[in-house]
Amino acid sequence: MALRLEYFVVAEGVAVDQLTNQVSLFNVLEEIKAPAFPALVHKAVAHGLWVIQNDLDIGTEHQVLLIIRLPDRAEHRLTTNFTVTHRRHRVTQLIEGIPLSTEGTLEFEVLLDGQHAARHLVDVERPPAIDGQAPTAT
Amino acid sequence: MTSPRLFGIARLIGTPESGIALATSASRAIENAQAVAPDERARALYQASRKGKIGWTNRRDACGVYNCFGLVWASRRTSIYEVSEIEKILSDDAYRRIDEATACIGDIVIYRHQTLGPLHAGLVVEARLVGSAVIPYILSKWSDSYGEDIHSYLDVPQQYLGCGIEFWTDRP
Amino acid sequence: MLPFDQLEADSVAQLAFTVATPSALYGLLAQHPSVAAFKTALGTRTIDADDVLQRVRVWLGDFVPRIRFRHEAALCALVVAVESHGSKQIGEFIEELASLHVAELSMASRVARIANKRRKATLSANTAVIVKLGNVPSRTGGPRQDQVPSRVLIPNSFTSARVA
Repeated sequence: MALRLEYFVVAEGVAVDQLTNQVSLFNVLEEIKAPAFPALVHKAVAHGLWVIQNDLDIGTEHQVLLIIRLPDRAEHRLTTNFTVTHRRHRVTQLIEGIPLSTEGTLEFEVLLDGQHAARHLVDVERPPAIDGQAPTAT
Repeated sequence: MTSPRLFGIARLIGTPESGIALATSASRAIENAQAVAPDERARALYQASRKGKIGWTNRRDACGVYNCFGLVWASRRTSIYEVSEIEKILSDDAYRRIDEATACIGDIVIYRHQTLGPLHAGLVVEARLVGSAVIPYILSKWSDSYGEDIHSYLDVPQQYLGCGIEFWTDRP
Repeated sequence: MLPFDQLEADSVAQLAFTVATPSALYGLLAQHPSVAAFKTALGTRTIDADDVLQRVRVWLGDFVPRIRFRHEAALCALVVAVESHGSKQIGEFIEELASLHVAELSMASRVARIANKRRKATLSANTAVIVKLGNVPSRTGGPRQDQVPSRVLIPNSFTSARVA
């Protein structure tokens, strides 16, 4: 792989300080508790940092493919193209409205130029019923 | 670039940088560019920098075109800016390091910062007897905007204090 | 003395007029107190990117063809002072100066090329996209959608998960 993936994380929010260019991620997604199904994840941010292996990589073009696999096995594929201009390059995909129809695992897989690079898994659960009552939709 | 060009005026009316055909003895091209004339502030600052330098003899007033490296290696025709080009010349033209005591007219001196590399170069134009010591006197063009002065190799601007002083010769 | 005025000090200009190589000039400017003071002003947000660009525009009013740019030494110092500022405008400013090949700005553009290279080695570039998979109910208040990702997102996405 021409670029090395330094890290890949899925979180609820991201901010880039306009003065320092420092990035901050908020509330890394590890589990989602939905009161009922179907449910909707309003926002999730898939964020990765790619680092060049040598200066020859400057100017090269690449494609990040984000595959979102839902617990019901449905898939969404999102591509983002970028040109390397710096030693490090952040690719951030903000996804709005991820539908959840059942419990299971919500998987975010990232590939660079067709090659698997990383995976981030999120557990999707329905909280257990209280006093034997099934949870009701709110 | 999404914003309007900041340096549009420079692109529109500026002088495109250009150099001359210049090469080492091994026919390797030497990157160079001819400087424009100094502005009034540069001229005034040059005069200010010479105040108090009673040991300096002025040869030429502030002018453009060439810098110190261009004086030494391009006969005042152009300026040489990059350290890599200096090292290329020293190597290809078979320069060798010599002691200050053996420096003579025609040799060159380089003022080299420990970490930043060469800051300045000049030509040895005189070996002057001062007391019982022979002191090399240097002809320097201080920059591509200042003038030329002849000075003792130790009598230099404040920026060069602390630099290593290297004498080089092309003599076998 | 104001930070911009400090960059125009005679001591900065004398450096630029007595050091022959852009790499040495860069190194000496990086240690100059005027540059340090300017960096402090940037860090405390006394000066921002807009101020920097506005001052450069003012300086460029003195650009005269075939004569050394009057503010070139200050411009060299400014480039060194803002090199690590993360904003896009500063990046574009340095990149544009670095791309110039005009004799009136020969040293400034060379110093900018050094700064640009260092900047690209230390700062990260950003590519961000927004994708809608489903219709998200609108909510009143909260951050504007088009400010993402340069803002904090309030983490309330899951407590309001509801029947679609």
